[in-house]
Amino acid sequence: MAHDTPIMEVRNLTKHYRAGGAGLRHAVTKAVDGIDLSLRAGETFGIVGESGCGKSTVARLMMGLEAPTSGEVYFRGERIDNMPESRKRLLRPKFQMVFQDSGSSLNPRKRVMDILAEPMLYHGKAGRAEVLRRVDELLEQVGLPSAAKTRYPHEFSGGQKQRICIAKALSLGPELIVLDEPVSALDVSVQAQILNLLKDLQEELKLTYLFIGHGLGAVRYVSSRIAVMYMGKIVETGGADELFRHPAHPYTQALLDAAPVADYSLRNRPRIALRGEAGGMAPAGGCPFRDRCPHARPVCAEMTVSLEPVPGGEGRLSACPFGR
Amino acid sequence: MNSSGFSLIMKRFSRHKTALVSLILLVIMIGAAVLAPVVAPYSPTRPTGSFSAPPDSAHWLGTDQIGRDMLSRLLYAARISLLVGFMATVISTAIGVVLGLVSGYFGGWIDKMIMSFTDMVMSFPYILLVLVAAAIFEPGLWSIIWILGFVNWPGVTRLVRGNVLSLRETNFVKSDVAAGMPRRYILFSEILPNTVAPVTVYATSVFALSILDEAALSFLGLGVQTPTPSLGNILNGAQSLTILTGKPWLWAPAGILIILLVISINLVGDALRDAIDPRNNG
Repeated sequence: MAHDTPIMEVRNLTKHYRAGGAGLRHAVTKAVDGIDLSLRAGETFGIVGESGCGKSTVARLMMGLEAPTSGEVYFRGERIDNMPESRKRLLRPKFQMVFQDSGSSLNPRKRVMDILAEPMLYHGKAGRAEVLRRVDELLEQVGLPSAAKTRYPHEFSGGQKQRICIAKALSLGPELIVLDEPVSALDVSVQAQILNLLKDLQEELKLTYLFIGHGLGAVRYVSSRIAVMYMGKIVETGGADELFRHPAHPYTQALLDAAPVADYSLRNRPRIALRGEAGGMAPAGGCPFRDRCPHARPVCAEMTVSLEPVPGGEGRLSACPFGR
Repeated sequence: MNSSGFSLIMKRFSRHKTALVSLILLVIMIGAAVLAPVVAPYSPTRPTGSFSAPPDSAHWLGTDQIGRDMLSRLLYAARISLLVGFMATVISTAIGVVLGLVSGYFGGWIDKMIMSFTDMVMSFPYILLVLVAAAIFEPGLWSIIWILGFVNWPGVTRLVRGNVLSLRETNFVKSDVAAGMPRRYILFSEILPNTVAPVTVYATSVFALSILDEAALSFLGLGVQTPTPSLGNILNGAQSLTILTGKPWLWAPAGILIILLVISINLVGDALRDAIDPRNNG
């Protein structure tokens, strides 16, 4: 495999939902609106944004859980979004997913060993004889005792359930794991444990992660590159440290300012406070962020927004030409 | 140990005292009915005493209009009524589960077709259906079983379909899709086991309803035909005012048995609903 082939790539990915309601018959929600992404092998790519910005939809589209309205998804250079399921099924073990709500990610009527063993048996990743040993191995990898395998999901805490979900994702030997807000529903102390576990596993198994989150801290902690999404579009993308240190897009700035800071001396730093909420309809034409942007000017309503390189930004792209 | 299993359900179930009493009653009634050939003192179809004799030491519940022992007839009647109820429930549950699974999982035009058919059957007055069916087929034990089985499945279909629709959106089904698991696995190993509990509970009410329906139809003479006794056609013999007021042993035991059966089954079903719900922990 060529080193520079992205492990997964999406081009102009778009997902529109028809909004219901008699009066809004033809209204369309643009959950994802023309996104380009490219994941390099071994990296952790973070996607951040408010609830409803379309980041989870991107995950589901990449995983082939939903069909895109338009655009393409490639896995190791092979187009998969239009591949028949019978063929795609053989590729699916290579890209797995961990969901936010670990509680509903496990069938309540199955023991942990069945949950872990059945996909491995189906895909021939382990034979009947060795599958239990493999289950033990997976449980150990995610830091659970071997005794866990005879238990049912409801006997575990949220963090432990998420460990089981991670074990399930690992069971098929994936190269890429899409983590859709894997720690958002957990206690802060447990969040840190799970994030560290994910980091360790990545190192050990040479995994690539797509990490989706709305907590900036977690995303920054694990990601090497980040994309910031707003209303179905990427508004800024680039190296994590660089992006966090010098945000080029006012929306990124606002997200950073909204995050709590432990340093007391920074308490009264100048901040951008966002008015309103994302979601609903973006203003027609121009920059979708302009009605909430503190730096909005008349020209924002007219210009065509596109991701352009930030001057001196080391490959960083921003959708705002007025970035500071 | 396996705390989500049978023992936990039994533990939660036993907290309902009335349901526990109902269950015991039900076991006794079903036991007596199943063992009717052993425990019944006389033949249910042959006259063994005088006509319409009141209860005495030889015939505990008296005899009917042509001298057959009422107790024996009642035991055999319970047997028939339970058989009708049970088989009708099995048939409607089987039809309902299959159609509900297919409808909910595949969606699209299949779903539309199945659901409009379901609504059609639901909106059809079943007495009319039975009248027509009875006119076409010979009325009798198996036609009443098939008719009742065909009348009660739409509720099961709707229940299963709704369940499948919500289960299909759960993350564990999505993660199976992501893991490339085949449809039959998702349908039979993930979705079906999670619909067993609600279907079982619903089936108890179908069971009770079928017993009532059999009684009603046999009372009208459209169901189980004499000389085969059923709870409904025993009541059929008690239509005149003189019998109703003067000879209660001809109809009261059958009526009481129907009431006991239906109430017990419904109470057991209600307690089962509570016991199976995993949100009632402890």
